Amino acid sequence: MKSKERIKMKKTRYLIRIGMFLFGAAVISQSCTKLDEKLYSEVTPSNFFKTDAEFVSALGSAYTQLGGYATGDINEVQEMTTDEVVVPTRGSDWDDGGTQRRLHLHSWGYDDGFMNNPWDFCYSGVSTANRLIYQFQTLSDGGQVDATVAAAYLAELTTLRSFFYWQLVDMYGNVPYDNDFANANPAPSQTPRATVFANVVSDLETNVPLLTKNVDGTTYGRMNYWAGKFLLAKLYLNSKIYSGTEQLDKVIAACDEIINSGKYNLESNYFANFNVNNSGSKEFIFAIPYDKIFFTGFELGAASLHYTSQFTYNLTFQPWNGYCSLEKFYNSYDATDLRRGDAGTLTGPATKRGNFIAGYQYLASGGIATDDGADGTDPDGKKLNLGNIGDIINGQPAPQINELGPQAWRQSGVRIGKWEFEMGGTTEMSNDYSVFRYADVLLMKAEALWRKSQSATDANALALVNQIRTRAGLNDMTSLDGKLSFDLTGPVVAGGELFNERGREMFAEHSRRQDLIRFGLWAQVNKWVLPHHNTTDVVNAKTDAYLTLYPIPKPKLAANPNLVQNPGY
Amino acid sequence: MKTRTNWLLMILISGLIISGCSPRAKYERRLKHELASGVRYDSLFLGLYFGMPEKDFYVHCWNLNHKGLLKQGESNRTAEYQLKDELKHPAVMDFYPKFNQGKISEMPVSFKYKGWTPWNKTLSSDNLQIEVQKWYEKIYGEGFIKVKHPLHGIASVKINGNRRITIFKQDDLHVWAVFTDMSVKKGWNDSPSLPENNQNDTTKSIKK
Repeated sequence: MKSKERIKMKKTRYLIRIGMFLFGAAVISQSCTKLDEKLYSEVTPSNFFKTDAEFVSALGSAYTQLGGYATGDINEVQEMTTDEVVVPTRGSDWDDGGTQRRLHLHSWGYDDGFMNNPWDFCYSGVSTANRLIYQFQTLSDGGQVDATVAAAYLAELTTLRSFFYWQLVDMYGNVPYDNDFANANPAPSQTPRATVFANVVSDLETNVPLLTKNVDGTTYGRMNYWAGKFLLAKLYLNSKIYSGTEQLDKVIAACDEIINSGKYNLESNYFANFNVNNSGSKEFIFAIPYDKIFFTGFELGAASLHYTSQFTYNLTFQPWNGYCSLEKFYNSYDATDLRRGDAGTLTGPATKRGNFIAGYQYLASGGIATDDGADGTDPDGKKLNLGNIGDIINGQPAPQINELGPQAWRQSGVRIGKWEFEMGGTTEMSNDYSVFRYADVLLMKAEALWRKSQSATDANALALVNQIRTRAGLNDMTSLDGKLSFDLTGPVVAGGELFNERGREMFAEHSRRQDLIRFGLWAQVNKWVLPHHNTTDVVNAKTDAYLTLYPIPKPKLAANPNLVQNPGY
Repeated sequence: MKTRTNWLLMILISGLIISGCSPRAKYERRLKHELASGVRYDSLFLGLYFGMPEKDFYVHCWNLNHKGLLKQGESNRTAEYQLKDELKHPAVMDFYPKFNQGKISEMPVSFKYKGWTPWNKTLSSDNLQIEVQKWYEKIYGEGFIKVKHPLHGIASVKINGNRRITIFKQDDLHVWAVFTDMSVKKGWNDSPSLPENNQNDTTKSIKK
């Protein structure tokens, strides 16, 4: 009996074990297809950053946001609104209700997508930086990582975050400045522009000294000490606009530190900065290391070149025929300026590379390129002549761009050729994009010196500008004053030639809008605006002072009742 | 002896159950089954479909642009469609396909809430990912399974015939839904590709 009971008990225990086992297996089975939706922003033991490589890997997500910088939405609002670049409406394709034209006419609306996307671009960068700062700081405070190692990364992230805040304070003025990742206010109010500016400067002044001064492969494409100094110089230079107070001595000091470091220099060949293989240019203080496969987002060829240019460069795609430069800006380059390049003619393609793709275009296989869809009114018809260089209408040179819209010629406008186009290239370009370049250090210091001395013949300022001009194959500038590049029939303006030289050197590098505002020229938009005939466009471009700031985007106002629209909108 | 055998048997069974129900195994079984069915699901959205010639895609999108349904998208790299009331909050979807031999073989679609800000967790990609999946379940049917995506954390995957839909979030702002024609792109290691960059890619670039 005892034996039978023992067997029965054993059998029961066995069944219980089997049952427990099967239950456990079933639980596992359920859980393996119903995984928890965890927040990856949480610090958990499994995603601690323990090694240097893991820190660097995590940092990568903070820099990822920059992929959209070169030819994305920041480019739209910092370049398309200026005298450098425009997208005319060529027929009705991708007119998008006139949003591109409104950028040119300074008549944007607060619900235009171009107003919302830069906000997202910047705050996404701020958000990622804040998340990583929170994670790194938590680990550092908890003693789980070396505090000194974490400090360097925290300083780098804070500097990168400051870059995004700089863009925000520049474009929108009063913006929320809330960096509490763990306990963020879901509907923060705005901080006054001057206060955001002061906070960003303070963040940089505290953190930049903690950054490495090394300039090598490990710091390329990252915020090092010199990139931090450059960012500070930029903020100080625009301090009057952002805060109402000049900080010119600080501009000079920051630039001097970079210049005297000996870490950077002008490249002897201007275009070395813009080649496909331009990594490690000695002019790059902070560059985005684009790659057509590994880090995409630089799509200038697609955005600017004519459809038929596909066969000039044997591209794997058809370009979109968008961005071009304005005639007055193109003409502000001296004919001997090495940066301008020359134009293709009926007898052959351009022989000198320049900032522009101009004139007649040729096929890679030989022969002149033709545009079968050329407009009936195009001065020389199907022959592809970008900017109609050399064409005559009624005895007068044909305009490079006949109108802003709605019927701009397909071949209107010289194209942006500053960055080399790879033969056989894809939409994605592998040229690195210099966000901070040494040439701008020289120009920033020159401007600060000129603003201090108020002298058109300030020798120190001229010497700096002339370093740039010498490389461009030009004679020395003797006066910083001059007629404005977009108003060559107008009066001589204080600092006009310095302003023009900034444009010629920094063309399409996202500095023109700030330059126009800082030099007090933003409201003169009617002097560079193109003829426009769309019935929905304003008759004249708007010139109101409030337009130096962009509107707080409509979707953001709708989502946060504590946001207040910028004045004037 | 018998007990030891039973335990070994249990371990063996448990191994089979666990491995057989792992997300990856489930995904691979589903993929194999669906591809073997020979049924094709080429329909995407807005009249777009797998196998659509590149030229037809452009013409179709231009037509939709002229009708005001599409416009230039984020960073000028995509076509953008404004969602009306499909999701809980106003949102936009951006897309631009991948072509294989001149025909659409993959369609990465990104979503973001228009009112997104870093502080408003209601409009974060965590919530958006759930909303996008709910919406897609109405359109493409239920049956999404959760898997660990090799690059993008927890993803939801659904396979019907040759059409795989993978939904995952990229950052605090963006959610992606990637339609992949698995008859063209086979195998788990063929992760959904994106026009945007991801963390690993960027790190490579930084070290360049």
